[in-house]
Amino acid sequence: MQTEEGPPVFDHAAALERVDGDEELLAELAGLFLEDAPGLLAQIKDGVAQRDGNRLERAAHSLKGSASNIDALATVEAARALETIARDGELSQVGPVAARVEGEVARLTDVLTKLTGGQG
Amino acid sequence: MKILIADDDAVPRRLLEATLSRWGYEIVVAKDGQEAWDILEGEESPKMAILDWMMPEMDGLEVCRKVRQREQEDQTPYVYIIMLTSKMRKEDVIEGMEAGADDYLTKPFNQNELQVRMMAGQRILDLQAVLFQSLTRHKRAEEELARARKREVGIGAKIQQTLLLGQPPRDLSGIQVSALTIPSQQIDGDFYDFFQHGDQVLDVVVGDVMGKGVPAALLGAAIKSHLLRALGHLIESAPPDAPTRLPEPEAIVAGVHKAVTGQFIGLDTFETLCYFRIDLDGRQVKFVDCGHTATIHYRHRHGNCRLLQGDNMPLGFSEREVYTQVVLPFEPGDIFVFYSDGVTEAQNEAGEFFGVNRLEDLIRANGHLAPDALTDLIHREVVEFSGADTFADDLTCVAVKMALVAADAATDAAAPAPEAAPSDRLVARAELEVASDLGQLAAIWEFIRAFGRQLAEADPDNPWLDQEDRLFHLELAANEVASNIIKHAYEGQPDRPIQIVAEAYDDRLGIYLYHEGVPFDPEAVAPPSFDGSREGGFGVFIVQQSVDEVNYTRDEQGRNCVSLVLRRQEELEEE
Repeated sequence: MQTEEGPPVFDHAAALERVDGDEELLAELAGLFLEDAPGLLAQIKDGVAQRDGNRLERAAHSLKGSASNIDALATVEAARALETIARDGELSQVGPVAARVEGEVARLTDVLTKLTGGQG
Repeated sequence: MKILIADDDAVPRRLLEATLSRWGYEIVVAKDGQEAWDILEGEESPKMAILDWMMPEMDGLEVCRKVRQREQEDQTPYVYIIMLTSKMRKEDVIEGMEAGADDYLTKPFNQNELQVRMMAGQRILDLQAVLFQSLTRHKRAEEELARARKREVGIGAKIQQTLLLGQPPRDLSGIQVSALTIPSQQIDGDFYDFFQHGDQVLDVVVGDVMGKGVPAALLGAAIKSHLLRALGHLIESAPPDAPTRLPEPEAIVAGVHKAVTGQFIGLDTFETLCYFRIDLDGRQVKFVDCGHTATIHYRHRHGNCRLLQGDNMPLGFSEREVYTQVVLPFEPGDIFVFYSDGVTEAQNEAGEFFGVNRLEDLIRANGHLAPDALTDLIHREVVEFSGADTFADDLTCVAVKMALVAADAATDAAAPAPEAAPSDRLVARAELEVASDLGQLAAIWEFIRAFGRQLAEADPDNPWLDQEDRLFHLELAANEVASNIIKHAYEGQPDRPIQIVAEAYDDRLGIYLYHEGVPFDPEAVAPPSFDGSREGGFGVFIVQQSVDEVNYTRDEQGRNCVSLVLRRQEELEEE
């Protein structure tokens, strides 16, 4: 679950500590993330296509917030980069960054799906 | 405690909800700003809110601003607001503070940090609640107090008007009297009154109880009642061979002193008083000054003023005080001015007092004025001096002026005084016949009362008008006599006749009760025992104390008659 460099996809230990060792709650949060993530990704794709910086920033911000709560650090990093670019209006550069977000969310989804026992 | 969590993102919202629920908080969630605001506006809304900064519809900052605005406008209880954000730039912090946020929490939050923030918030809310409660209580208490003060001022003013301030006599020849009162917002124990004895003697009494408000007014009223009682008692107990039944001012003051000083010392209060007697015939004044403001004596012939002051202490200072009177002559055209310290202690903008010297100068320069013009002038000058027409103290002022024509009266002294001839002119007469039944006592009482009323209506100047107390005693005496006739003279037999005749003459009032029963001998009745060991004797005692004359006679028809007579008071003095 570790990329060559950069933060981990999912820091299970830290996430568990955040919920005070409550596996069930963690699974519930993971499930909520899995529910929300496709919608946020769709908004991001739309934002890129429409060159809508506001929409992009907002979706990236939400994704970052949700991911941070379950210690999905790689997704947090990618979403933060996207949020910064979207806010600063350098939309020409946004494509690869958005793609990276999509990739990280896909990897995270795999991990979380296993955690939730395939219910995601 | 109930807490609102508002976040449009499900994961952080759920995490917060789960965490705070585990700590025992009751949670209400909102998915956007509008929903959060609706909840905060609702019934029993949460007193603490954790608001995500970025939310659709209405962001956390706007919710925060609206909450603060409502608190200011509607005085609603305080809501503690924690902003939840992943932004932590300095300008964001300032913006949040300006919107009215109490604290920040960055996403993702740390459990310990959240717990510390919650405790801080709880503490602030507890303090706010205590403050809010005590403010509400304070406000309510203040309103209650204001109402009570207003009531008290009303009561005090009524006491003052009805009990403390007497009416100056209008019908005295050779003397003019004017009295003026400007009540202050508070009630002082200031009082004045006039006791007229015949048409040659006027007693002016002015007093001031220490302190203010209803207690002072009540003490003033008590003093007045003691004065009347002392006066009445001394008149009653004067030896029959005394040259006059009118007691000396110092004896009256001594009587009041004896009655109240012990009580006043107990109440830790005192009363300044000046009992001032003007004897027109003798052209002299006699006064006892118990620490009151000095009386100003304007001397017409000399065109100057002097201050009259005794050296006695106020009533209520010392039980051993011996009150002594000062005797001074006066001349026609002289004026005596009595005033409360509200006059001399009125202050101007610079904080100077009006002062007794200014008052003396004013009186000296205006000694030609009639008393009412003079008191009006004093009022105007004090108002002008102090630049206000309301005062911290009551402003009372009494002026008595001796007529200049009194010089002529002196030459008349050789001529026989008109009062020397007893006047037998019958003014009014009424009769009532009742059966010897105790149930008729009320009718007898009512008959005498109606007679008194009829006298007052027939002649507005009739001498009995201000003598309600004496008339009451006459009624009381008649009631006692009738009761004795029924119980003893008729030995309880009903249906025996009692005739009551009421007659008013110029100089006296008489009530005559005729009956055909056993005559009773007042001399044979033992004096009353005041320990209640014997019932009898009280009736005769009451009767003798209540009227000026009691006679037991037999008329030409062989009926027994008990006559009760009240004499006009100047009659008494000449005896």
